Amino acid sequence: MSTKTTRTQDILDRTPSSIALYRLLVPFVIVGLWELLSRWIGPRVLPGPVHTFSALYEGIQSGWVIPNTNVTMQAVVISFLIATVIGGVTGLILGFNKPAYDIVEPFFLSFYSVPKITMYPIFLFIFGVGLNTKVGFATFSSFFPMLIITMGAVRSIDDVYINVGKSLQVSRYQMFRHIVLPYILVQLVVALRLTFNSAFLAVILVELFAARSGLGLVLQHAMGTFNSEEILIVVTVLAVIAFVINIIFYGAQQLLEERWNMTSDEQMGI
Amino acid sequence: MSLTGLSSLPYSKQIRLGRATLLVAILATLELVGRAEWFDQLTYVPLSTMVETAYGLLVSGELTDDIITTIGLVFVSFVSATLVALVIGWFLWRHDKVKQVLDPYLIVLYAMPIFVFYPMFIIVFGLNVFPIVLIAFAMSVTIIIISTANGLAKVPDVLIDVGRSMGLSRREQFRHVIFPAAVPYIFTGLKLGFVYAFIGVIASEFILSNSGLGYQISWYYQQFQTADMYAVLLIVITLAVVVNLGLIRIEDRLHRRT
Amino acid sequence: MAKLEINNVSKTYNANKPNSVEAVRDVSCELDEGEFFSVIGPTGCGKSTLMKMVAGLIEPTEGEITLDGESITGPREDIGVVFQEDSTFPWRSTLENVEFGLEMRGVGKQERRDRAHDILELVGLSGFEDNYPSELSGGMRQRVAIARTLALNPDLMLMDEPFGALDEQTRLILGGELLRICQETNQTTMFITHSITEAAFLSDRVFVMSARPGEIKELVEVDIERPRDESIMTSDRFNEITDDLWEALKSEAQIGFEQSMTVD
Ligand SMILES: Nc1ncnc2c1ncn2[C@@H]1O[C@H](COP(=O)(O)OP(=O)(O)O)[C@@H](O)[C@H]1O
Ligand SMILES: [Mg+2]
Repeated sequence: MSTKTTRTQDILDRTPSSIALYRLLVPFVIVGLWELLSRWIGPRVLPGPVHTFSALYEGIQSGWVIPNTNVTMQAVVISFLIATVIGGVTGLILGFNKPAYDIVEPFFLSFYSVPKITMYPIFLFIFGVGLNTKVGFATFSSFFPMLIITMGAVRSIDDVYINVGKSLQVSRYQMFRHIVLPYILVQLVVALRLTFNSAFLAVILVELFAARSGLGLVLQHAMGTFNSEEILIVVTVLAVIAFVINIIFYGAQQLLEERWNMTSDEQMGI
Repeated sequence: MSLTGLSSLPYSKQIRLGRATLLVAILATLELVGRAEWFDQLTYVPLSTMVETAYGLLVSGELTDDIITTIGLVFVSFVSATLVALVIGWFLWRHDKVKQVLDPYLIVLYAMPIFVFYPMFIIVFGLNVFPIVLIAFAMSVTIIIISTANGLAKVPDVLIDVGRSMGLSRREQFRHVIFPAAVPYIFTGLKLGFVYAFIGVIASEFILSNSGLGYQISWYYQQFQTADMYAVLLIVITLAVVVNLGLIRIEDRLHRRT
Repeated sequence: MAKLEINNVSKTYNANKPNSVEAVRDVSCELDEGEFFSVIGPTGCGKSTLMKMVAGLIEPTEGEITLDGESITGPREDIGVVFQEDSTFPWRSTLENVEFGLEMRGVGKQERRDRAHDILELVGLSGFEDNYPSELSGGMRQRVAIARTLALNPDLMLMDEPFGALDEQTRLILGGELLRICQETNQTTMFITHSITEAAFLSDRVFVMSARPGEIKELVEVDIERPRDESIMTSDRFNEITDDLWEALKSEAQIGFEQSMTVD
């Protein structure tokens, strides 16, 4: 009984309402700092938040924000899904095969540190400019976090759980569904988040470098014409999307960690 | 060697053999795909051509300035990110309330496509090295802050009590107990921070700049000098992989102590 | 015929390799129906190895193990195992943990729920059905693991130092409860421990293993009447038995200790 109360107390102590309140204030502080910065640098070079938000509204009204966002996000979502499936399945296979895992792990870890955008020209040479190239490259770059975390998660499964399953003679499917999957779930949520972020960044970089539409292309144009207002609109849209998606994944991760008291893998630094 | 001979080798030797085989297979594929002439010369060149071209570029001194620029920028961004992050990480560790408020934001910031600020920085600061350093700094700093704050917080209470029971001062406590205990965690952050600083510099150079290895790749691409492009790409990849393997080695060693 | 027969069983890990370890050597013994049988020995002597072979999780390099005359070649439905490490699933509540085996065997929801409630009552965990393992103490988690195995009503129950990680008082309390449960269910049990008191308190017979490679060193009969309770611990007979066990174990524990000091 005592454990129950201390635990509830624990959670209360850790997230008292004042902390939740301060957390809500942080975005306002950021917007405030932005305003100050804009006044300091000069609103011509760096338009302030009020100006940017109204320009964003106008941009939505005049119809260039939404279609371009759609183009970008479509590529992000498609590559995210493909990378998740391919990376996840490969990660599971390699994770269950210890020798294979031990052999390939340093290769994937080192390749993770390569600035993959520099390999985009290869994709352009082979496939030309277009949605397929964009998606192909973003899939390629976001495949790695999914793979690395999934295979590491599978390897980290405590033998005793597998032995419990074996001694109960569970089927292969049951072993996967009821033991492996719940065990690696928290880490999979982390993997999904990092995979999404990689796909997101890859698509933006690709659009900045060579694309025919999308928010990255808008950025590229705006950069050429020193249109800082348009840049800030795009940055705001991208930042809000990234923020919302990350908060959702992070919330799910926290919920699982809190409830099961399991932690995610540290390999990728989170 | 016969198969039975292979399986009698100790496991770690078998793995090393496996890795060597895989490496050779990858290199051979890179070579043979070029030789097979599935692609024309403008699309792909064999590995041997890349190596030869890279050697030529390095020896002629054509790339020297770019290499110095890139390495210099990575160094400046990473070192400044480390200094700033260690201080902020330490501060967050000391002030747990602040850390709790900021934790989710740090995680989200780490995940943000920071790079979208590059065009803005160029408008504010002009097309020079400053925006590049700023981007690489921003990409690198968050993970080091997170790992420093978390690493310090993870030091087991019992170790702190040992120090206290021996009458160490606050400063001695930090210097001799807390910091060394947290080093393995902090190092993981430093490793990733370095990787992101490298990626930030190269990506910025690649997207828009006028010098550096990243810039050379995109320049050779635009000039259709495919062999040169692959040569610089090979240099960049080799640099990334070698440094990263070194860092992983140190990291493994540090973690073995914990 | 004995319930469980272990005939000349040996186990060498990584046989024929430079890093081979001979963990168990030529062990033979028999368990009767309803018997509570303990295996005691110094750390690293091969107790867990022996138990995993009986559980069908690993194969002996030599010899044979039979249950009801049938050779054990893999995990079986009629053998239940409680592991040395914490093996409760952190993602399942107490109730869901206890239901796990039944659920995997396709037992209907209502039936397994009722069964789980009964078992939780038996192990004294009523009221904690909805708590997750992270909210329970180590002792309670181990009870959950025991309940999860008991729920399947196995013919033979194997327990590998189930209280090994717990403090002395909790051990004694849980030992007392285990005694009560086993007397109620008349469960055939093979219990592994390194605690002399625990072995003498619970068992009908205690098998003392030598240091690695584990061999039968001695078989000690605990001829104290059942039902037992904590009061037997102060009896002269109990002290004689624990003295015998300690005598048999002492030199082996010394060897085991020296083995454990060699760093590899
Ligand atoms: N999977 C394994 N591979 C190699 N050696 C093992 C393995 N499992 C256990 N051993 C070794 O076998 C010996 C006996 O281990 P174990 O049965 O776990 O001992 P106990 O349970 O009595 O402490 C130990 O020296 C241990 O290091
Ligand atoms: Mg053991």
